[in-house]
Amino acid sequence: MRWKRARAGLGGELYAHLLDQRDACVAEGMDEEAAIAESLRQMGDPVDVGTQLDRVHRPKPQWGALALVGLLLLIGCALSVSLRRVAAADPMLSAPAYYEQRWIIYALVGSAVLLLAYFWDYTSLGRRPLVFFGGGTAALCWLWTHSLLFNGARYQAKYYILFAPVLMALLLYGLRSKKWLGFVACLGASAAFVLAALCIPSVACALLVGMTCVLLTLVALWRGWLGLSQKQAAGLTCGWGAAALALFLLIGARCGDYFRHRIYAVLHPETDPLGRGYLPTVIRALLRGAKWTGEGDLGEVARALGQSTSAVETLLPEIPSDFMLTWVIYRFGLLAGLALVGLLTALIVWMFRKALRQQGMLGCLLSLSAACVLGIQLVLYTAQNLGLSLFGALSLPLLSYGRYTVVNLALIGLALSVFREERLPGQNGLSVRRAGNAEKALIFWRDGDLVIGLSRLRKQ
Amino acid sequence: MDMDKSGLSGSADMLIMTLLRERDMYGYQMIEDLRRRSDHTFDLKAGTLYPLLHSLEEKGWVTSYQDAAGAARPRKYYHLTDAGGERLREKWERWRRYARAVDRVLEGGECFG
Repeated sequence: MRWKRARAGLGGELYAHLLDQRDACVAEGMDEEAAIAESLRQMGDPVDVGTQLDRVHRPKPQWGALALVGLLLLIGCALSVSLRRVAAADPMLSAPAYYEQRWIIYALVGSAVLLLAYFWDYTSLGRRPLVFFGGGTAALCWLWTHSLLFNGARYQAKYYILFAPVLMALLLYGLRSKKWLGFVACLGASAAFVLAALCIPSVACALLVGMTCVLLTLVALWRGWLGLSQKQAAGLTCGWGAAALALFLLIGARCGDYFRHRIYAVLHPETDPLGRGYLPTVIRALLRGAKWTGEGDLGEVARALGQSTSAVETLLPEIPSDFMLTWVIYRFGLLAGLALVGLLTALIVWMFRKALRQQGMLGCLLSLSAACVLGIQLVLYTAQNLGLSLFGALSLPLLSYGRYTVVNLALIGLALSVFREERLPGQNGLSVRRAGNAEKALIFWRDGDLVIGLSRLRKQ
Repeated sequence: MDMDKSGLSGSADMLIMTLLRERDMYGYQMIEDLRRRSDHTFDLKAGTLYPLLHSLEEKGWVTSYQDAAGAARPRKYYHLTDAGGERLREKWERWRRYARAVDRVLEGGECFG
């Protein structure tokens, strides 16, 4: 077998088989040495066995996903160049070159991080998951407290907090089968991460972190990885949902006017088109004036705002980071916007499906955390760029400008590392036998014996 | 009789999946069960069994888990999935058609069916 990491997992199973065979031979009257020799003979030709196992156990390169990520990065780079050229052609527009230069730097650094994560042995996290969780959380706290404060917000903390779901996955794995203790600890950790996001302050980050932590915990509950039964899992799910909703309403009530005005601005932007409703008004007018292909019409915007304008780049702030999708739809057409969202959706849906098919708990939760973070970013960004900016947006993964590119590429690399090694034997050794299996029944088979659980009869 | 390579080729996965259909088993148990039920006709080597099991697992027809309950050492058990059950039914059907065809040839005569 050429894949060295696969040998360890297989070795245990084959060794156990050898021991069973040896014990059987000894039971038939052979001495120890003869029994061992016979067991080895029964295994077959070692070269033949190794060759057959090598055919089955090989890393699974994720060429398709890597190609798609590369394509998206190239598109993002092209869009950044295109935006700068459009802005440079109009003397009324400022077009800082650093957006393009920094985008390329972030893409290159992020690509290096993706490849590092892709070839790295993610299972090493599983050897000391609680240690990695503790270290990661401590690093997150340090980075959070040392983030630069700008306009009352810790903008850099928004990047770091996106790794919180990965830490949550490690905590869940470290507390597998700990039942109520595990569940309460995970609940506490997810609440702490959400609070940290709210203190940035960023409702979008809090929503992303909260939803991802909830999803990861629900998956762990339903698959029996926390050692609780299906009924208990159902009860916890309902209880958790009710508690989260109550908390959200409480925060909304305490924040008072802020949320009400924000919701009203989204629902009726026309009541204050130059104030709170400006961005939804402009975005929706741009979308109404957009064509299926080619540049749109600014007439709708002029009618909506009651004033003329010469370039879309003067209407929207921070296009490279916050409104790239709206700009693409206006400049290149609806089809171009749909294509971009479609490509990203395809990548993220593929990641979700692969993640949920993982048999091993650690691989499933890590890849699922990455898929969730990317998916929620896409949903929030698309909503904002369609004029439904209730929570603000973080990034359009791999396409918009910002250090989120590095974070997103690191998460994609981690997920692809899991998918690449899904053939690693012994992965299912990282999964815990589910609660509620056959042996919970009154009558079941074990090692050829029919077992009747009389103690369960008494309990019943 | 050792029919490891010739007799079992092409049918080993069907036989193993049939055993797993009845209950979850570990590797050595499957070899012993197969040997006993076939009256020592099928003597599957461990070096053939494990690549086969891992290949079935990779296709999603079986899953595996560790279980140490009631045993001297932890063992890796295999379980037939729903997809594996479907595949097994198809294989059974193909085997029955094959066996009927062979019987007709061996018994000779016209087939009015």
